[in-house]
Amino acid sequence: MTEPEITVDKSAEENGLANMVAELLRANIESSAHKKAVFSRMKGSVGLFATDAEVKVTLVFDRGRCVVHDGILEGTGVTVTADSDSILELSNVRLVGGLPCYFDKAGRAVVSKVFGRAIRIRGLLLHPVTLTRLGIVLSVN
Amino acid sequence: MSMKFPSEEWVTAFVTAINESPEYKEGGKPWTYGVTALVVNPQPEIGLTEAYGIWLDLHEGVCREAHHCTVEEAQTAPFCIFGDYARWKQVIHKELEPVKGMMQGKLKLKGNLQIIVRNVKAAQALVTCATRVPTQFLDEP
Repeated sequence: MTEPEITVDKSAEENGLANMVAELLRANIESSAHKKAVFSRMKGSVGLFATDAEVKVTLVFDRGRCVVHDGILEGTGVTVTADSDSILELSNVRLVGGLPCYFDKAGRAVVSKVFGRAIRIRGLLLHPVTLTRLGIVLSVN
Repeated sequence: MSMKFPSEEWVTAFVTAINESPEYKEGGKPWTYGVTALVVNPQPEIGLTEAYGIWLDLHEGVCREAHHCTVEEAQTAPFCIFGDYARWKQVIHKELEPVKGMMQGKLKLKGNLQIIVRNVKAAQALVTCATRVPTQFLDEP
């Protein structure tokens, strides 16, 4: 397995969310072999839009590599739109058996926000695997 | 009586607000990760010629000790948050949530982001305490 590489694109150097996501990914992958293995299988792009902060990023995954770009790139498969606290809540979902658990307090809070449209996910039905993998590599638990 | 921000007397009043806050006692209970330092970046036009550091020894919902420190000392803390004067003013006015500020790149964190994400409620409770300190700002008459 090649060493994971996570970089922030030049366009996103001043973007706080881009730097936070990149740092979280690096720390999570470094501290968990499971997350590292999942990361190395990821391919595709995911957009994150923190509405209250008016900050957007796109994570482009390519089997062991991830580049974080400023803004939502054209052709991005999945986009998660929520306020900044809710975006952070996604990282607080626990992993059980290596998968995000939506049955405990933190998981139920996220599900409830998805159903209440406080967290909007475009591409949820078309890209469930990408979303599940994103949940794994971004989880701090 | 309003306290000048930043100043030793403001720091003392902040500590009192933290230790009298039931929200911080509860929200900050899981925090056992050491000192958090806050740094106000220099702004000579309002009389802040040097960076002003605030050293907060927080532990399990209590502030055990606090003092004004240099930026060099602040950087030795496990967690250090930097921001311009206007940003801290927005934080104290509760116009800028710390998470949103970090996503926008207005506040910069040095420290383990995984721990911050897990303890975001403690950070929010700490900010609420700052809003309770009667504050006189340097850029206001």
